Amino acid sequence: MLRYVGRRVAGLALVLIIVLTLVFFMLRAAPGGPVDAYLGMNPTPEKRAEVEHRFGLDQPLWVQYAKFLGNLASGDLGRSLFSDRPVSGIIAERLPVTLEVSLVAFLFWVVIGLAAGAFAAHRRDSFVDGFIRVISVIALSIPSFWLALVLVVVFGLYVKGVLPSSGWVPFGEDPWNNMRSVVLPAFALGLGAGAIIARTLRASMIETARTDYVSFARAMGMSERVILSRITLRNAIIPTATVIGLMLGTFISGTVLIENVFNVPGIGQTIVSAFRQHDYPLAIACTLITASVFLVANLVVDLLYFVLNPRIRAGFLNGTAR
Amino acid sequence: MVMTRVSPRRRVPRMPRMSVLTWTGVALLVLFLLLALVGPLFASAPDARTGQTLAEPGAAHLFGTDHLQRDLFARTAEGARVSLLVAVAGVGFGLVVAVPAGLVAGYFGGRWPDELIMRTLEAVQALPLFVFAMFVIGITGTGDSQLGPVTLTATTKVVLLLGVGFIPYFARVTRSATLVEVQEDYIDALKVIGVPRRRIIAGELLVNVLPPVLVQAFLWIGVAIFAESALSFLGLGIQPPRPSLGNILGDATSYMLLGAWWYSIIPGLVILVATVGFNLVGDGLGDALDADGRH
Repeated sequence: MLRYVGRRVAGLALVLIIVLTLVFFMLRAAPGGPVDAYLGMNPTPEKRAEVEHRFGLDQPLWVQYAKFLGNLASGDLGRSLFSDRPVSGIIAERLPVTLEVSLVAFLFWVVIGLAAGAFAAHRRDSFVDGFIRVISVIALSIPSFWLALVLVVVFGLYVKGVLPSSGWVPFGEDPWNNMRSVVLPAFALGLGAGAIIARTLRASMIETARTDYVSFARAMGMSERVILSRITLRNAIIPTATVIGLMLGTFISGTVLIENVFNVPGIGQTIVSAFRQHDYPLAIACTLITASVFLVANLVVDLLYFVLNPRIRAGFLNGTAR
Repeated sequence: MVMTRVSPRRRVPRMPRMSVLTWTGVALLVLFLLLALVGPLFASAPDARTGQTLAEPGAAHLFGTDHLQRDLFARTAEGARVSLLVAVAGVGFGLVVAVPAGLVAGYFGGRWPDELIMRTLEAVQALPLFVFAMFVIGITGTGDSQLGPVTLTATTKVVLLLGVGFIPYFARVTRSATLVEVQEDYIDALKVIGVPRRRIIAGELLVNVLPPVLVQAFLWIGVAIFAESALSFLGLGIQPPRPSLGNILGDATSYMLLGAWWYSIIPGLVILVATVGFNLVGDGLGDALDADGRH
């Protein structure tokens, strides 16, 4: 088990280094570099040389690369070319916003998704089941950014004053209005994922209900309630956990879109503006952050299997699983 | 030389009974295809000025007009066509790379070519691809880029990036279908009579593995439409003046609070029709295969 974890962590580090290298060289190869963005129109050659020197862009590529990795290893993410502030400072300011929206969306939609899925499976083929199925297909098909647009139109034009349709209030400033500004972004961000959770749980509970051990439990006279909570749900939660993990992946692309619609100053909004302004260090840092979150989420899900599924744990102990 | 195929003829599965939901999905897909493929023929030019700025939907302009006085039905229909073509091209590009990779990996199941291909694909899959696509286009710009002698337009870049994102999934499906197929007796027979490996893979395995892969690929068109519109919405995909469902919505963001609800609602509904259609048909196919496996 420990060896497996070690191997996975090493693999994760390797992928990160590949990502970083790719990111670095793509940035340097890009046309319309940071100097152009920084200087504006028609700079003099002297001015250009000066700025290039200041950013270290006049050194050989491999020196820049070594420096880049070295700085990264020491936790120095450089300065934003655009605002001239330390990148780590900008991220420290923006990341909590994204995390808050994501966490609220995650908790809310996991609960709703699990409840709806379990209920639909329990009342299989009933009217409620059909209703949940139809709603969840539509919910998972709705493009999150369009849902966000619709919410902005509804709450900005027609239902005014209930919830803010745009902007962000930091928690430290005004906790109540902070919570109000989280509601719509979180709702739009997690809806699709909630639907996928509901569908997965429903499908795997129905699958589990067909197994011999459930029939056996029933034959032994266990009550339906005990079968549902102790057997069906516990077995069905394993595939659902995978989906919940993948959900974090969809959140990453989701926050980019949602934050831009609701004008929420998180990592997603930063990433788009950094690309537009050719702000190399900030763009690299944002890509790094999102890639790491994605990779770590995948790792956590894989490890979660051990906790959820005693069979895999047992397989590891007696060496039948890799 | 014409080589007749020796692989056994498959039983054609009976048409499964389709549920109401599946039929709804088919209907929605037909609706979307009509809009995308037939709509542009009946609509005015997507760039023509109508003389009315932000007109509400009505008899003259079914979907209203936009801030540049353009008819939104014409733009939405043309946008749907562009989005569909980009999605199909992206899926096609993914298939062109993924199917050979999956065939080779499956043929050598468990040996080093398989390991090499699958590990590479895992690395690709480990990246959040939307962020990667955004990154590549953000860096190379939304204009044309030179890649050696080839000029890549913004549209081509979107197609290629979508395709790259799909490769791991398509390759996996191809590989698992191939793994089953190579166990068949006729493959052993071909090996014994000395048919070259290349011909076994390209001639026999390919034809037999392709159908399930194509079904999967078809369903991914919906995902591709969604991904394209998300990129274009951020201004990183299809570039104006060419409309796509995503960039129409991107333009609409500046006008939604001026009361022009139709500008953002209607093109989004078109995306929704397509994605719900693909998902419902996908569910139906899944149920049919599930039932097939059980009886």
